[in-house]
Amino acid sequence: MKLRLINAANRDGEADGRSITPAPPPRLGQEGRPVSFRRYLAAAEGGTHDELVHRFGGDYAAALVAGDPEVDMELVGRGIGETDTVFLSSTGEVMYAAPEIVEIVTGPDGVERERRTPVDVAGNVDLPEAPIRMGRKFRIADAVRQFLFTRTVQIRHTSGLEYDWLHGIAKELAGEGVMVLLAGGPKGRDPLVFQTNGTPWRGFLEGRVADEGRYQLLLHLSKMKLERPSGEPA
Amino acid sequence: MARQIVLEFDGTEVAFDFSAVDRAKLYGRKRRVPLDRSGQPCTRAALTRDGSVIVRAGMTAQGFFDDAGVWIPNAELVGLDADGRPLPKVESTLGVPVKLEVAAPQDLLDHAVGTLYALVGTPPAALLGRLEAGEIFRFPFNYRADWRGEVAFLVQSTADDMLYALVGKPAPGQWCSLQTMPPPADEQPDDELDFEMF
Repeated sequence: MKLRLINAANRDGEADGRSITPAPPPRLGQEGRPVSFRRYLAAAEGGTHDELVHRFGGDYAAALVAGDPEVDMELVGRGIGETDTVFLSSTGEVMYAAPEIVEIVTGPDGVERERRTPVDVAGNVDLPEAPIRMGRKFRIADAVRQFLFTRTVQIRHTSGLEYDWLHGIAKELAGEGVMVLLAGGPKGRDPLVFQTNGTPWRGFLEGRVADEGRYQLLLHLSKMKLERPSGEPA
Repeated sequence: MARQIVLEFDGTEVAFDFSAVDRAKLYGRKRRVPLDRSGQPCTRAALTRDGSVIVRAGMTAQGFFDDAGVWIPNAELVGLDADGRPLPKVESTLGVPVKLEVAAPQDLLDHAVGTLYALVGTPPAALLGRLEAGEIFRFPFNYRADWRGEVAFLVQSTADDMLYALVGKPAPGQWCSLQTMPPPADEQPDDELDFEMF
């Protein structure tokens, strides 16, 4: 992804952003015996729990033993490859027209607070007219105890000029031992949104430098403070 | 009795009850819901590519099979390394004393934190003092036995002064130098960040 930043000296530029992800979990299998993961049909439409309850009542075990009504020999066991999403109405029928989409807001207690028409929110990390701005600085040791960081995007240069610029930012932040809050939008106060309707994140930029001109610019993303819900035991 | 996180600090063991904290519990959540003509929520289903079957909830199962199509029970599966060799099993750390080690803030930042636990317990005064002073500690963590352990970080929050365990997997950044250029856009791996509206 591309990010457009402006530094403390009001110099803006574009940089490359790459999410940092942990190594994938080990694959499962058996030594010396190739295995493959498959998703398959375990029941046909007439064999789901709801349908069996409808046909035989809640205690349908005897019916299963007597006649295997849940097994459709034509379908059960068939592998499922690629599929398309379809919507089913509340009565279980396929919808042939696009459903109406509403946005439902629920409180921390899980109770619905508001139901509204959703509004698309565009991404704001690559806007020439509103580059991402640097704001308040936090000591790294304090920030990691105040916010929960769950994602990190590494910012890298794509040209020699960008190298000088980004290395300079990293060096300055590392020297101060701080992370700087990054914000987007026209006033430079909005959370970072990486794509249309994406999650809004608070972004904190950390810099590291090492010998031979090496650097790391890490944009740590947070969407919550390190705090527990009210009413939970202390 | 629920299993606990048991930490060892300077030869003293302290047990913590723990509970997961997520954003929805703190701030609530927003979600987009499709409605049918009567204003009731729709459900999603999958249509096979040949259009012959609508796969509804409860109609599928999944598992591992050998080349002959024989199902392999999960209990017979093991984690394999890149060369196909079995990995040693990593046992659960719950209920087992694990040693605390001092960690740097950057050590925590070099992990992709996936789970946040609020801790309830009475740590020794010496440990509490160091946490209040801003020190961070790390310890091995594995919720259930599997093939890869995780790392947890013990911190005292400055937001509410409570103790938390942040559990994650190593995800360090890479050093960049003048000669290091990112691959062209068409060679970049898929962006795995999930920025879906929640």
